[in-house]
Amino acid sequence: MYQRSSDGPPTPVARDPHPESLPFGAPRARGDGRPDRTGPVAVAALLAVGGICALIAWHLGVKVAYLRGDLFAAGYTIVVTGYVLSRFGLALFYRPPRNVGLEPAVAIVVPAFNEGEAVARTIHSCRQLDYPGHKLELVVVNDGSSDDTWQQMNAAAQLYPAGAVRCIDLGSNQGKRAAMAAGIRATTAEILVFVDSDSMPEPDAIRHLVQGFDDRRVGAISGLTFVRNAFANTLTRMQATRYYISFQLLKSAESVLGAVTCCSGCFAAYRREAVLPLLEEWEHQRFLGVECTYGDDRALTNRILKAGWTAKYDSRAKAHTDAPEEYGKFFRQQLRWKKSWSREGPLLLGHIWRSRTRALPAVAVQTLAGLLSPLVLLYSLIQPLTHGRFPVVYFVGLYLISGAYSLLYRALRNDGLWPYAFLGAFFYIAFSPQLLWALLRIRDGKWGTRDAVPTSVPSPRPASTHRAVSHV
Amino acid sequence: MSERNNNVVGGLFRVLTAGLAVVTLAVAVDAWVKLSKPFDPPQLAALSAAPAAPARAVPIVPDTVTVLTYHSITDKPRESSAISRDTFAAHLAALAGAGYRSVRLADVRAMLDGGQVDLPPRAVLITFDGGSITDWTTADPMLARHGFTAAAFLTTGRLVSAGTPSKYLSHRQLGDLRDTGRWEFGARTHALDTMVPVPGNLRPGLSHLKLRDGRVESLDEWKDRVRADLAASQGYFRKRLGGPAAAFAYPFGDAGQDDEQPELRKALPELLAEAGYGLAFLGEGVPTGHIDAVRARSPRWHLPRIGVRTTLGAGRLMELIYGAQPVTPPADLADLDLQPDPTNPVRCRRSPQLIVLDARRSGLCEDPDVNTTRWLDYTVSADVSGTNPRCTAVIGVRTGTGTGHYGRVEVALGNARVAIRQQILNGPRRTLAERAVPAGIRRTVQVRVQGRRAWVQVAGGAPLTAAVDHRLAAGGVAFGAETTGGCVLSLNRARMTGVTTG
Repeated sequence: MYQRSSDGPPTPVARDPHPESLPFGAPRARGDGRPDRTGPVAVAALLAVGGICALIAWHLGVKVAYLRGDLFAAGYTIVVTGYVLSRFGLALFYRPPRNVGLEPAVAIVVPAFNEGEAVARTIHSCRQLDYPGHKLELVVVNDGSSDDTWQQMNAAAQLYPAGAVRCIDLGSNQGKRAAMAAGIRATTAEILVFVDSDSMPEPDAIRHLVQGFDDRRVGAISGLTFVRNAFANTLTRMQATRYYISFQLLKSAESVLGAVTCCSGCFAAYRREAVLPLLEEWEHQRFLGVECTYGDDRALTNRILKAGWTAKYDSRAKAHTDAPEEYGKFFRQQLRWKKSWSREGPLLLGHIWRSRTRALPAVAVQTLAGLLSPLVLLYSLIQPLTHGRFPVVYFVGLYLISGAYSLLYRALRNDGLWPYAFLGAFFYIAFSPQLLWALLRIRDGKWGTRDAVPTSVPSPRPASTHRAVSHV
Repeated sequence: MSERNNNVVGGLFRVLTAGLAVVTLAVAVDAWVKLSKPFDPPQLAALSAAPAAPARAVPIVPDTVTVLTYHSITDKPRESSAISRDTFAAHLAALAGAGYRSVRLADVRAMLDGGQVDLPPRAVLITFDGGSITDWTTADPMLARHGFTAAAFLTTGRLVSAGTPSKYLSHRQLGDLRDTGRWEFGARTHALDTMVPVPGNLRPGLSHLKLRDGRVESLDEWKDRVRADLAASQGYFRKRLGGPAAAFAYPFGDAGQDDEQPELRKALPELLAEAGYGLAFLGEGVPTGHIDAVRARSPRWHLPRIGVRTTLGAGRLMELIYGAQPVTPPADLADLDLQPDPTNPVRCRRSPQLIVLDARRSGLCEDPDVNTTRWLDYTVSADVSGTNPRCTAVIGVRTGTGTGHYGRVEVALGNARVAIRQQILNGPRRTLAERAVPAGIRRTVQVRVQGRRAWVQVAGGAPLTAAVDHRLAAGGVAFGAETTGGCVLSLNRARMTGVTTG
């Protein structure tokens, strides 16, 4: 059940009246009747983002010109700040794929495990999509659920014409990848769209999402996922801003280079032709001698890139997903993501130099600096004890970058969550040492959230209200 | 109504949040700018001064190098060692106007090593101690204007990374200075350019045993400390300039000359040599006596320099330089600019071939500006008249002030006796030998110093000899009188012959 907190603005989903609008363009309407236009605060925030970027660039220039301090620390600063700046710079050039009226056959694959009635909700929302019925196939795979998921699936499918919703039962719990692979094998559609069982695409999302495949080189496209329960508590607020910044800044930047490194499992489309040759290998991926369970999305994108396809991001194809509301669940999810990141990051680095050379610098920095970041954080924190000085530059730099994220959020979205972007940046940084634990436990395939009986599953809503559902 | 209140509260809250965010961001931006801003003062345009006409031409003494010690050049001098740009410009103009050309440290070293060096007739070595940033910002452009070179003695531990605010040079500026080709570098320790606590006082850390935890360190501890520091300094030069430095300058000009701890004074050159240095300079402050220009015989571990301080104008500098030139003696000693000893006034009048001393009390006349360090062995002869039982003539040899002078040898010629005496520093005057001589109104006296032997003969008498202190090895002459009631003495045809110069 998603909750709308009292201080959140009432923002029913509005179909974006400007589908071509850029992530850096006009902020979204507050939905309270005011026209969707760029407010002076948003412009000021955007200018401030530019100002902070310029300041950081200047610092970078000074660093390069003077190379003060020890070379390792200076090098780290240069590389990492250069990377952050490049994200802002590249995102500036991001344009979503053009709408060319493409309408290929699409199969939505929904793997489900112990989802209960939530699976019915997903089925309903997928059938409400604004896409020609005969070109849209829905494949729901029951991964050996121990609850009534199978019954719920079938009951929901009954409401639609025969063949519109196909239900597959694996018979036993074989894992998310097996479920997804079974779904893929069961369909012949040209475009495969993966939707997590707790995610829900907006009605026009598929239509937007497939447009990018007009480019024959594109093998995968990631949609933009919002946190549906953003206003539930502080944790989800921080996650919501984090999701939004990750998509609109990081994925935009990666998309400009044609190498989105993770087409998120919540909502992403793949070209069947690109997936099929990799299917076996992906489904049964082994790492350090154990079968990989987590990180299916990143692993699949990684292989698509390796095969020479490009991966893009479409900011107009929007979906909504549930973020964990409890810290325990959040940490388990973060641990899973960090594990998959530390597995797939180096694997990506292993081939990106030939599969997508222009993305090599960013991927290299992202991987190496990312692996170092917990150590750098810990090193900075113990510096007052070891060197007798507080690493002011490091923390002021973090503060400025967090400020830039927060201002960017405010410039793009006026939903009152921008302070959480700021808070969240520090929250996530504070959690970066978790990576060390993730590295130690990388062979442990336990899912964390999925093993547990799902709690707080959003209840299904009447299909008729779907269009008025808030996405924040 | 309550919804409205809520809206007002919410609005206030939003404004507060936004205000807080803006303020903290502004603080962060300010801090960031301060942290990032590089400290990189530019080089200043060279000031120049019109060369003043030198008071008197400095004598040309071949194969000597006058060495000057500067510290920082700044228009707002906070320390007495700093001089203003105007003063520095006047100094350089005066040096250039007097025909001085700068030489390299390498030339000085080669000269000390006994090699053949082709030095300009008037050679100066300009040195800068401590590694001040003004070496780069101020001194370098001014040196460039006059075509001078310089040597910087760096306290290497104080040099900073490029862009760091400091009054000392950065590593990068050091490289830039080297790349101009005008600069050479030596060491002034790595981190011992400080005062350390000694019992009851603070003294230069290099040349004193310091207090450690309430006790004075042992000689070995001192050696370890100095060794480590010198090694660190050489390490710096190897890392930044590709090789060790050859020259060293003692911080505070203190090589232990005060002899508080003679074992340190003796050990320091050994430690320096061990660390790879080949020569070391003294000289921090403006000298009171003569500072000698460096020549082949100069003590390589205690090379003298003329220190420059805030108040030293170009005119006085040239006087000091004049006094630093170890000239050869004139044939006629009446050519010396004999001046009375300021504490015991004696009137000295000179005309060719004749020196007249009008003494009301005992006193000496000598030429304070002539540097006599090269006057080693010689014979002084003169016709002395005017001695009587109340008036004794005094001829001082191997006398002088400043470095290398420890006192004098005196020959006292009384009415019927002659004596050889010596005085070391401020010690008592000691009679070494004495004998009776024939009395007379006008007597020819010959005084010779050779090695450690002093010899005197009064016409008609037997010679008198004595062995003098080994420290009294060089110096000039002085003439005076010892009297209780006043007397007038005249010295005719006073000359110096058989001179050996060093």
